[in-house]
Amino acid sequence: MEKIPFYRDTRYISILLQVIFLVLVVGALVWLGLNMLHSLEKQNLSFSFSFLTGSAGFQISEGPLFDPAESYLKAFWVGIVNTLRVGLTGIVLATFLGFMIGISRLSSNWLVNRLAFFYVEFFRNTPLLVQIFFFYIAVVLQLPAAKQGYNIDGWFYLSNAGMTIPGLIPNGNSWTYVLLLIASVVGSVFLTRAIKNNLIGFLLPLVVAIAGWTILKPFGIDHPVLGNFRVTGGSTLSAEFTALLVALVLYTSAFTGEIVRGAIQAIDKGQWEAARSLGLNYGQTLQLVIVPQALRILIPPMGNQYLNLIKNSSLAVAIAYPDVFNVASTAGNQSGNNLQAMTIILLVYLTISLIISFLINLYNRSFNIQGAR
Amino acid sequence: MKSATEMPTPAPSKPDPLRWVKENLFNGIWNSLLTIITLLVIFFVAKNALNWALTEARWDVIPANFRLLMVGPYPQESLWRVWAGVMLINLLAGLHLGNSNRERVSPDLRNTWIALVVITVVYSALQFSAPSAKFLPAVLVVLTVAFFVGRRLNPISTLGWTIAWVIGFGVFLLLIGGNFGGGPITSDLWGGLLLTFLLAVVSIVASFPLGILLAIGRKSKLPVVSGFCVVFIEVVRGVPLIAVLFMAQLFLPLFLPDVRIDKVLRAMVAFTIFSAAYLAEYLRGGLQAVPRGQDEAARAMGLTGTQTMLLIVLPQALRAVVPAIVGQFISLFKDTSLVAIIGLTDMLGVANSITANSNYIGLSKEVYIGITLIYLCFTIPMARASRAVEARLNASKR
Repeated sequence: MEKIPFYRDTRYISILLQVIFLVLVVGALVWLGLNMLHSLEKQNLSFSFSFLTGSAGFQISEGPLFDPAESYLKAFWVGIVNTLRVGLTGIVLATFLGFMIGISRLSSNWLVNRLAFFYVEFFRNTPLLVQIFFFYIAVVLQLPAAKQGYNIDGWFYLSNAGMTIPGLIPNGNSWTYVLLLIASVVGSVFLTRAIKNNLIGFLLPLVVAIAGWTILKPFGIDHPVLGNFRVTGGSTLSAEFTALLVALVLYTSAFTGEIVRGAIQAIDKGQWEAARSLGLNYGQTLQLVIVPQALRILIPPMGNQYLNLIKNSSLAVAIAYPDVFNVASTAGNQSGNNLQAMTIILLVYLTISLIISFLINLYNRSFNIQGAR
Repeated sequence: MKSATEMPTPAPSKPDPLRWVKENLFNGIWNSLLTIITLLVIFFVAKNALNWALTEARWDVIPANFRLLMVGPYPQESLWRVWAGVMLINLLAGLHLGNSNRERVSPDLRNTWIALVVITVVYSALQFSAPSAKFLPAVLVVLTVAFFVGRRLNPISTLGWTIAWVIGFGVFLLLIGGNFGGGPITSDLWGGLLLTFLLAVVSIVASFPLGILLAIGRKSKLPVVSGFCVVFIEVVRGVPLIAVLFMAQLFLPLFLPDVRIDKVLRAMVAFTIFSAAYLAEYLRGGLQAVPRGQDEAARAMGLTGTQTMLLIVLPQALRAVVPAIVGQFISLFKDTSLVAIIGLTDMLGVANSITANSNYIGLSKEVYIGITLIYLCFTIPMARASRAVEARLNASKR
């Protein structure tokens, strides 16, 4: 057989192509990098992270207590905590609301069905940023001042300064209580598997939670009090936090609602019929046959929505809620270290994304059919 | 807005409203209770909302600022350029629609046309003194005449239409930019809905080739190429869009020191990069959905790897992801509102400046609801079109 010349041998060609690609990419990056260094030099700036230990010198209005004299590093930390605060609360609420919307979309009740449909269409098709501005400028900031606001004395205050709810003061029993709760949830998972009864698995943590609360008294409650001009005590969610959270939850729940609906509809009709003919009632069918299968379809797109919610929370910068994006861009502008601040932002969001997709994958694996791809 | 698959339809032979109500609202105790509670909630919400909208709200802030919302700070004496551009686009759209609906006109298209006529009549009646009240009917006439001319023309190939649209859009951009007589109109004077559209259209069109390259690159057998594409796609998808926008604003001038790139172009670059990464992921799904046999058959026919990809695999992959691409277009259209944060006067930027204006204090609800409705006018039809395409693709599969 005739020997193939090397320039027509796919093995050599592929190596050659990759070398060319690499040279082009590296060349482009070096060119961009040199340009960048040149322009930084022209502006008397340098690419170093030494500014992080310096004193920040700006206020952060909420989240963990922050003193302007503290370092930029601490400021970034406060920003990250604030991002997670709004992100995680949003994820929990959006999941809950999304499930309600998704199930309403499948309801045989025409009115409920249509209402959920319009909800989804409306929130999915309007820009999130417009919603954030609407809830901030047109709703929360237009609320009356504390004294005339919507109040349930001692429990709940809603005014243009935000929302105040009772706060928890931990005491000696707090950790015991939290550990007890975790133990009861873990225990109920095993119990559910062992005796194949979801109701007991659900009731156990509930009973432990209520009984533990009455016996141990693990937290003191800090009731908010209405002063002359503002509410003191309790834990206050600022106007910015409230508006951002509401917008994120409404927007994301429209998407999760569609995901829930799609997942349940994707279950073959035969599954329903088979379960019913086995003598399971509606609730049992849903609980034992449909939901476990739907969850398998549901989890990956839900994970995407959670990621979107966290990323979308960066729109906080528009209404000055001090999340990590806002803090970083303030810090970058103020110290002239925009490049570094942006690098930190990228790393923070990439890390959060990786962690969430790791958790979702882990959870997803536990639902997959054994031996399936 | 009803879709037959999601709604239990009453028996078509006997349209009995009482029976329909009983079957869909009051079948069983739970549903009856649910209906009553929902009705009560709807009643109270609707009562308050309507009361506000009809008696308290001052909607005149929208017509008073309508020109700003549409074109932003675009010079008033050059508005004819925008109208001429819109006419040109409508001429092309009419010809194209007519040419591709030669046998019969779909009911959707007819309904859209009726809606356009109604909007035009209402608008012209309300704003009869404004110059746009004369231009808007003219645009509709152009669209309609072009449609019927298009039906008479011989069928024109997709390639032909693509070239026509590229040329047409180029002329549109030149017109807006102040060419063909008159001084240049720089992009910082483009605003409102006009800017929203320009950002969305330019970015989606530009992101298309980039997204295809990234998707093919990611599937490449060469590890360096696929590694680069994976890192690019994952990094862009892992960070918020606003971060990409800020980076484009801050760093494009740093990276390219001797070229001055204006803000709008920088935003377009950011949207293009962002959208390309998402398109690449959708396309990867589409590429995976093309059966292996297609590839093998093409190779067996003697096509080269490039030919197989371009002529056999890619067209099928693109077809499979049309709904996802429309979805991407909708979200890009909505996301253009983010440029308000970096100080461009798109529709949201204009709205923010109106609510900050001392003449319109306390009218922020009206302004934001107003632009929400304008956004919905464009996104809802797109969403419906996407659903129709999806249904058609599913139907052809079975």
